[in-house]
Amino acid sequence: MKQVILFTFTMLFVTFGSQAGAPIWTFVPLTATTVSVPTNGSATVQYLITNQSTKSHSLAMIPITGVTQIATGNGVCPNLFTLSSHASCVLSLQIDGSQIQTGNTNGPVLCQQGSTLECYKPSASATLSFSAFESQYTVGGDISGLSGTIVLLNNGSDADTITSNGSFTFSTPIAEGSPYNVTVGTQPLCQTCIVTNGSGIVGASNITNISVSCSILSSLGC
Amino acid sequence: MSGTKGKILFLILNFYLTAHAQEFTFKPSLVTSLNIGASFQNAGQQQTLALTPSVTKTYTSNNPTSTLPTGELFVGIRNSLPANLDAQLGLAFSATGNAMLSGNIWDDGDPAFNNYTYQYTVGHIALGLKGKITGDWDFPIMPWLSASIAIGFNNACNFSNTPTIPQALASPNFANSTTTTFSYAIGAGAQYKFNPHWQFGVGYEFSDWGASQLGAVPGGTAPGLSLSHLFTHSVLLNITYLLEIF
Repeated sequence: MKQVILFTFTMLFVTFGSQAGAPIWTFVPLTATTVSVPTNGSATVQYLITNQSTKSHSLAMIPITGVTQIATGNGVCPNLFTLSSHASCVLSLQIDGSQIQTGNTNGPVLCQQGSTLECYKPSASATLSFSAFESQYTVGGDISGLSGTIVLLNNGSDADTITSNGSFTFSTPIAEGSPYNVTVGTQPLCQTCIVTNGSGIVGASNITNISVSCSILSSLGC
Repeated sequence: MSGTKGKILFLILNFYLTAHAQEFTFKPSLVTSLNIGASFQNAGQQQTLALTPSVTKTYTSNNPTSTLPTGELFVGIRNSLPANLDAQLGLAFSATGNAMLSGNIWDDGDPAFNNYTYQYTVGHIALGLKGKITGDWDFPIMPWLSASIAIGFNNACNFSNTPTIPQALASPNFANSTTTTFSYAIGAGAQYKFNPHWQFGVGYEFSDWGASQLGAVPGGTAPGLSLSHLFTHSVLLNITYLLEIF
């Protein structure tokens, strides 16, 4: 009797279990799918695409702004590709940091070619999500003639206390395209320092050409 | 109706007319009847459609039972027949609420990919010819039989689909479409003669709305879901007014 009941429950499980859905083509992430990309850089995300159907399917990806499908390489899915039953290929995506908008793409989405009547995407945990961050560069230069302690400021803050000659660098980097302006916050005792090349716009590299030249004051009390 | 049943009905009718030919007089009166009630349907059938040459889906049916408001206006003439029968013949205009149809969608026509649910509605109006025979045997309650044939207009509309797994994206929906079709109904019930002009009654009616079909999906190459028949069972109350014109 117990065997009959067990068999019945097993059949019920099998019957109802077969009604559960499953994607026709699956996305298995081969890399991290949540990525941070500098605005002047790129990143690559890859998924293994497998056709779970007994029929072959010809697929195409719905375009995503800032994402380019890499269509060449061994085992890589071309732009338009056909997968026979249970065949796989690698969907390789290059993300252009200068084009993307931060957020969840809700993709990538692959559809049967020619329509959007049959489309699938990764599970929520494997959805492609990215954020872009601006490139930042340091501001610095050289100081000479210093015999005491000088405090330099960049854009009125980020105070840098310097006690020896040579190169200096402010601790807080500045985003590409933003202005910098180096001034003397506190002059050294009995010296006056002059800043040369102290202001400008940060480009695509560190600022290293700021020159601070100090000279001794010849006045009473020094 | 099969050929044998038709022949039997013809023989009965022929016998009746031959036996009572001398008793028949044509003295018609106008009759108007309003029927209101509820209809019940649980239509649906599994279909596999090739929406495009490369996209095939199977649509199963949950056979949901809908309860629909229904109404009919009948205008015709009435004439007494021999053997205490009473006949009515006229035009009937009927309309019902929307029947709800729903089920599941299997991508690739494969139950392993049972990834969507769907639903849509079918509304029905019809204009046709209706006949009614009432037995008036000096009882307060008069039994009746009715039959009608009509041109039906079935409006299949509001199709929607919903993914049942997070990886699936909703598909474009079938377009609304109205199908002009043949429909028929047969019924039976009883009347109470309140006075010479007013009657009240209750009855049962079985009807076939005929065919219905949704339009193609955007980008699709084939028409949408269809039904060759949509059967309903109705319980109807009626109020009838008779007016002598001769």
